[in-house]
Amino acid sequence: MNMKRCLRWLCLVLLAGGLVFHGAVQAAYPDKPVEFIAPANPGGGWDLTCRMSSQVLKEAGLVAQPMVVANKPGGFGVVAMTEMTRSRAQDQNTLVAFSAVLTTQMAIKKNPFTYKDVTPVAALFVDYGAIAVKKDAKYASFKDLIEDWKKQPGGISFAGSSPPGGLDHMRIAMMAKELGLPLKDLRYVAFQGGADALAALLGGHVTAFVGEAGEIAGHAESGTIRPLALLSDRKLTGIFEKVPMASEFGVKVSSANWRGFYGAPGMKKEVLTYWEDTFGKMVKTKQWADVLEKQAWVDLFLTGEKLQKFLDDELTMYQNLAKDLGLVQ
Amino acid sequence: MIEILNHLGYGLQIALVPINLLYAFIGCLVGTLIGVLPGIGPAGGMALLIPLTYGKEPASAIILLAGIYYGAMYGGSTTSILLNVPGEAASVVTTLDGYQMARKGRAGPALSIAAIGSFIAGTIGVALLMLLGPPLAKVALQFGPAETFALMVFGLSTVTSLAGKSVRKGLVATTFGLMLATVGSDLPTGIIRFTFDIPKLMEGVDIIVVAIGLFAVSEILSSAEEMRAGEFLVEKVSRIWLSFQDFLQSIGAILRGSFLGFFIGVLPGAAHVTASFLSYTLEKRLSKHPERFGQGEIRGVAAPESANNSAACGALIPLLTMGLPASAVTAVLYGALLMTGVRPSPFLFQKHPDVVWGLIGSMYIGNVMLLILNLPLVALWVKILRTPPRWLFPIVLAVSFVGVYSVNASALDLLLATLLGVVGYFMRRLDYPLAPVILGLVLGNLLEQALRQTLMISGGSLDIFWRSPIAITLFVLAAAVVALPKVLYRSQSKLEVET
Repeated sequence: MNMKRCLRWLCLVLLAGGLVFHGAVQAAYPDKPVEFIAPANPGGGWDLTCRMSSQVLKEAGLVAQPMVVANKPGGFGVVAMTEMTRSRAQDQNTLVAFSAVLTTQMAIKKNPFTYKDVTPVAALFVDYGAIAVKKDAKYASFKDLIEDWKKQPGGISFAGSSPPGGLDHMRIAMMAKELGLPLKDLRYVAFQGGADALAALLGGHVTAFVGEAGEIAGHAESGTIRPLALLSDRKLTGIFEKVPMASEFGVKVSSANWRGFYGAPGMKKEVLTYWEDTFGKMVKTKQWADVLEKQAWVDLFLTGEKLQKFLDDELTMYQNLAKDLGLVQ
Repeated sequence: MIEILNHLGYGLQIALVPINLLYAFIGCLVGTLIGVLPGIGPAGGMALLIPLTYGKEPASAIILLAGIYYGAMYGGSTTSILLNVPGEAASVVTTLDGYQMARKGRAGPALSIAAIGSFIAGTIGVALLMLLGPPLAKVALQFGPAETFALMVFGLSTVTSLAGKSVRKGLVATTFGLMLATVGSDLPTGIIRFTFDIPKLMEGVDIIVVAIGLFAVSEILSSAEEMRAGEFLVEKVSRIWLSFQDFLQSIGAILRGSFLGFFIGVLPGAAHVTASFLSYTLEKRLSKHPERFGQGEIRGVAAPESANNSAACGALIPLLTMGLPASAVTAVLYGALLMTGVRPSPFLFQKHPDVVWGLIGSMYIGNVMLLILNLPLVALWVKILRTPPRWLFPIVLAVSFVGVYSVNASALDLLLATLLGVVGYFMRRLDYPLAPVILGLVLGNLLEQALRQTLMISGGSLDIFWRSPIAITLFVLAAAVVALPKVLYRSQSKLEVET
């Protein structure tokens, strides 16, 4: 065989192999475009979770099918969940973003569904809670703030972005409980999103901001606000390196908002396994590490039984807290 | 000043890179389409195109998306004028005089003045954004919940100029809008109100669904009736282009609308909608012939169409100078920036001058593109009116329903639009104005939310309002808007009696 012939054979073999391989991929899941549903408006946390994940999955070549992000806002995720449990119960090609907002809404019985009505697929990362004040505020440290708060429990107003009974409100309640402050005096002001809450803080209309580290990263970096404490069980790196944990001041509160995806209640076992594996590969990519770094998010990858237990524990914790707060009987 | 010109030169350099010119053009074109077609608004349209920006330079991404935003403000007037179907919530006011102009054969001048007004306002808006951005952002921060509440009250006071003959009927219509606004989950407590266990209603009633139902569907119902009675008359299009006299008449309104719209745009709340309503009110109050408003007064088209364009520029200020998205549209831009790896913060100007100045440069160019794109279209649009009504109305109805469906892909919205169409039909028959319903719906949520946030901050005390000079000023202005015409009217009639 001369060289030319050899090459011709090689081409043929490669081509045949390619076709077979191509056929195999075609037959395997996903055989249709995948839809990521953000159950909120564009620009928020759920929206970012969907867009960042689909972007990394595409760039890293982990999912061969096109991925589209759709926004289905309403009732803090209830509208999307209603659709998934009713008309889309057997849909294999849709993933919906979820987070601690779901467990808190369940705890105060605002959501008629639970994560048991759908198929939780994976938790991907957490965004830790943070307390911040304006840069020229009189509170130089978290200690100053809590001392003043103890003196006048109703005198400190906190701006957050969840409704009463939501995550930000629970964070204030957990802190007040640790400090032994009467829960009925708390002054929590709910805004439409973290940006509105930050604007109220910057304009001096409220005393402090309660939210997530990712929401204030830009402002912490530029020095317009002063992050006083992280509600976390570990120190963060990057922008928040020098920010102490609340537990260092005796306020043992760690509150992370995790984010991940769930699928339709009728999601097949092999589809669930596919996504568990695929997300498992995604969180190990360089691109994903970059995303986490930029957003001040912290890696937390949970699937299967670990995810179930995590959700159960969290729900119990928020249910107890909701009772203490008098939000449910 | 030299420094700003240097920056602008740098921005124009970025904007003039062929690929960025292409993005600006795509953005403007898509924006015009989104504006022209009723239904999906700029925020939804931008979200759909975000995947196009993956892996692009941050400056290119934001040039494309912002193009959609201000492009939509241009296109929004088209269907308002031609068919009485508002393409966007910000174009509801334009229907008042724009559609009357079209009925009188002056659709061409109405569309032309909307395009020219948008161009002038857009250009003034970018210039103001460039010159006054950072100091104005500080002013915007002064608007906490108390000030926002006062601003909304001021916005609601404009209802007196929309009410037509009877202020009482105007108030009834506003109240209907405010009632519609209460549907959905209530932010301060998260309690679900008036949803009748329909999950779709939790997010509230969409403004564009109400606008299309009330205006378009009811328009078709009453026009059909007029046709049967042989009363439906559309005067022949007399001239397509604007006369110089029309332009002279409108230029004052355009300039006032541009400045007013820009400053309202910087403030929190439904900026474009509030800006368009306020500028219409201002023109009516300043006019020597307020009775001409609502009958096809060209200034009633020029002012709101200018105001919503410059408001779009103003609304970019909190995002660009503070890293805070103050509206649904700027929230999409915020998300898109994050995805390209730019973290919006107060340092955006210093850290990413290519993004900010590239955007500003592209907006100057984009406005010229939009003018060139939109003026020739006027001739085409006007031809639509030559379609016999028995063909035109079914098409309009179909386009309206597609628009309604495109907002949330919900069949319930179609039902709501139909119901509201019937309501709108009876309101017309009984001489109730329709625009105040939209005003009430848009401002209602913000009004209630701001009041309750204020009271949560103050612990229930109303003193907080009297401690805020901004709030007091706005309350006084609101009172003036309501009371002045009556006082003037009385003194005028007194004079008449005396002479």
